[in-house]
Amino acid sequence: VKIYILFLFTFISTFAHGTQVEIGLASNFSEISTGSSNPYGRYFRNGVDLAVKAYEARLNAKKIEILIRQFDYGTNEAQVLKVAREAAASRVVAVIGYNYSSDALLAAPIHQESKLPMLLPSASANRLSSFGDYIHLASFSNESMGKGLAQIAFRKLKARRVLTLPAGNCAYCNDLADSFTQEFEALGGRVPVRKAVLSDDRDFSQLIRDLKVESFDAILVPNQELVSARIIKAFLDAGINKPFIGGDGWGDLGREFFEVLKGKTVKGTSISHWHIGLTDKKSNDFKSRYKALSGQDPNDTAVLAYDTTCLLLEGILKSKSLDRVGIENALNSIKSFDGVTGKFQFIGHQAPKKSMVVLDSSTGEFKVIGRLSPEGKGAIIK
Amino acid sequence: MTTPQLKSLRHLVNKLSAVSIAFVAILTIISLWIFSDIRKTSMSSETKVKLESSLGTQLDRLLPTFLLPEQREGLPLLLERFKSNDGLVDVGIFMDEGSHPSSLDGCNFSKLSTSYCENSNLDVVAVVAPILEGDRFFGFYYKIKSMNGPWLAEHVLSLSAIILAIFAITFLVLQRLQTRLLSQMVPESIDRLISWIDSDLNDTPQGTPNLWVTELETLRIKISESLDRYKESRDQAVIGQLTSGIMHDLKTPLQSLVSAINLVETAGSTERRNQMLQILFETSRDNVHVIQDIIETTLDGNREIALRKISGELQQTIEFVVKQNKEIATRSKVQVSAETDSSLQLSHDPTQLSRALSNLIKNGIEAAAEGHVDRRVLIRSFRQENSIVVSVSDTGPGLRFDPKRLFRVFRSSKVRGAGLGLLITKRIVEAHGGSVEAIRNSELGGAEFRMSIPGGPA
Repeated sequence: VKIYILFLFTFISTFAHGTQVEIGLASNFSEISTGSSNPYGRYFRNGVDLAVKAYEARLNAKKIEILIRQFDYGTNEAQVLKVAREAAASRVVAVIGYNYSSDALLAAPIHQESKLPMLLPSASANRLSSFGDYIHLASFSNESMGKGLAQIAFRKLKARRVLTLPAGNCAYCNDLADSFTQEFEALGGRVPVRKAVLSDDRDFSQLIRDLKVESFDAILVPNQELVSARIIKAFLDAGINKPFIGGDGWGDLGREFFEVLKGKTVKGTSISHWHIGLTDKKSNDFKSRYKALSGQDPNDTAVLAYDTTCLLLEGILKSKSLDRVGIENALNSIKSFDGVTGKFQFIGHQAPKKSMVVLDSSTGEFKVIGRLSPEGKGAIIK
Repeated sequence: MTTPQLKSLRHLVNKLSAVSIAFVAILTIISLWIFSDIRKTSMSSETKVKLESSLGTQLDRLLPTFLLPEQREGLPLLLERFKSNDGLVDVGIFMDEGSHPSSLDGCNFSKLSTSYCENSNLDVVAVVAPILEGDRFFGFYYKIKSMNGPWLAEHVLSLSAIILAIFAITFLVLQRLQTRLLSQMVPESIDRLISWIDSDLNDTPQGTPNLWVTELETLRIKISESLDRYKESRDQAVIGQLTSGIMHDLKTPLQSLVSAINLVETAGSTERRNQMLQILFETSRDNVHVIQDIIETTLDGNREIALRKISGELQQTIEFVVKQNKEIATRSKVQVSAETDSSLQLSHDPTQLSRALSNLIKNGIEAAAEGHVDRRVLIRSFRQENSIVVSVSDTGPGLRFDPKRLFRVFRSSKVRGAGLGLLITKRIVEAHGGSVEAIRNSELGGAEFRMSIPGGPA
């Protein structure tokens, strides 16, 4: 009788409270990184919270309670492995995060092996698609971005010789440089010099001395925001004011980017996922809700976290069983998704096909000058 | 304490000093070597701590380059950065024990933990750490850092120890040499010192003896000063004795004067009377001069000689004195000649200077008269730099006394006279602001006296 009563109590209790689903957030929540002085965590977490709030009604209707557990790896890439193993051993049914490609590449094998769905808001390394079903990219890949940048360099800037200066210890940077080079050379351009730097470098005097003898039309700086800005500043200081191009690593708000440049005018073009200047309905709605939540303007990290969380919550809502496998199956069944950053199209296990925002930095701030098609081909879509 | 006891005590002290220095040198060498060794060990530990402090971070940064092919391009840059940041001699990665660089020969590597390795000279420390991810082993990361500190300590301190040892040995050798030399030189020097004191006391001074030993030379100087003081007080005593002697001496000529006056009264012929008066006059004059000289040089020695200077030709004064002494010279069969420069103008007191010069000429005549063939006295005057020099030289036997001691009271080698002439000459010349110098052997073979008076005409 006692056992029966206990079982009944548990059943009633579960029914009354709904089902708790714990999701993990893996990011740098605590430390100043070399890529940006803003820890990703704050924007990231706000985006996630906003998405959970947006899905609150639908989740409640299904009596699903979302619990969130943070996995903080700071700025130490080696810690990513530890965090991924912790997540794998935990109750979480999916993990959103690993903002940098390096982090995601390190964690992906662990997630795949432990069958723990991994949703990547901004990691864009090409190889991420190859680890298996459980790795889900919510961002366009470096391949798409490299193609887009090559199109911009070749067609818009009319450049034929482009230098590439990736940070050698940054997977995203090398990957993007490779993708760009492949497409640019396919278009008929040349990359005469590829010089590696380190992501925490500050002195580029030797690099510039070496490159002064080279002939080139533009410079690809495929790195994170701070080191990209420092490289560009060093070139401008040396009197080299060629067009600079970069990927989503340059960011979209550009506070730190332009702070490093100290008012110097740069002929810069970059690609981003989103920009606060976009005025479509979804963007405007997101901006107002984000500001209401945090009191600040969002950046691309926040909006990508929002879209990715929404994608996961769609999967959770669709899932027949609220476990890792059930959610994984539900996620795989999603073929398209309409997010703030654009329309996602999932083909197989590849990164989603999404349009890219093109930003100009010649006015001392990032300004949207158009969009590129998901393939990165053709003219800039105005 | 008796002298032999003192000697043995001194010997013991010297020996103990030498032994102490040698002991300190040996002790220092041993201490420095031990210190150097301790320092090396300490530096080695410090270097290990420094290497280890950055090891974890560096391994964490290296690991992704093995896990991610996209980051492999950064590996050489990272290693270069680590090398620069840690001030390393070498840094690198090898995949297995067999492929380690030659600089790590002899080191043991573990795939499970960090190993440390030092070369035989202990001037470099190497740290070798496995690059691990869980159970996966990727390779060994090594970094080598030099320890300049121990090398410096070892070489500088060893050199200091060697220098100290050489110093101790040199000290011992020199001390033994010094003892041997002193045992020979000190008795010789003391003999010379005694001989020199004897000769000085006998007024037959020798040259300054070479005494070799500083202490003995100091002693000689002190003895010399004492002797001078002794002779001065002796002279003062002599003055007292001589004063009574002079009074006694004056008694005789005064008696002669009384007799001569009686004779003059009784003398018949005028010629005889004139002769007697002449003798009377000369005897009186000589005695007045003697008294005058004594008063000026001894009894009233502190009084300055009053000069009545006029500007005039020195030649006149010299010729006057030569003429004055001509009779004496003729009597002594000595040729007195003067080589004077008529253009020399000198501000001087002719009376006093004549007196001074006359003393010198008279001395010269007396000295020259001792000769048998060549009997000459030569007076010369000439300008030398800012002074006018009057020189009186003779063909006599030269000076028997130390020239420096001639100008003292009652110092005379002559049979006649009180030994005051040269002292008077000196004081007259000094009153003119000049000096008198005696030269033992002149060009003429005898003595030479030089009066040197500064300036020209007043």
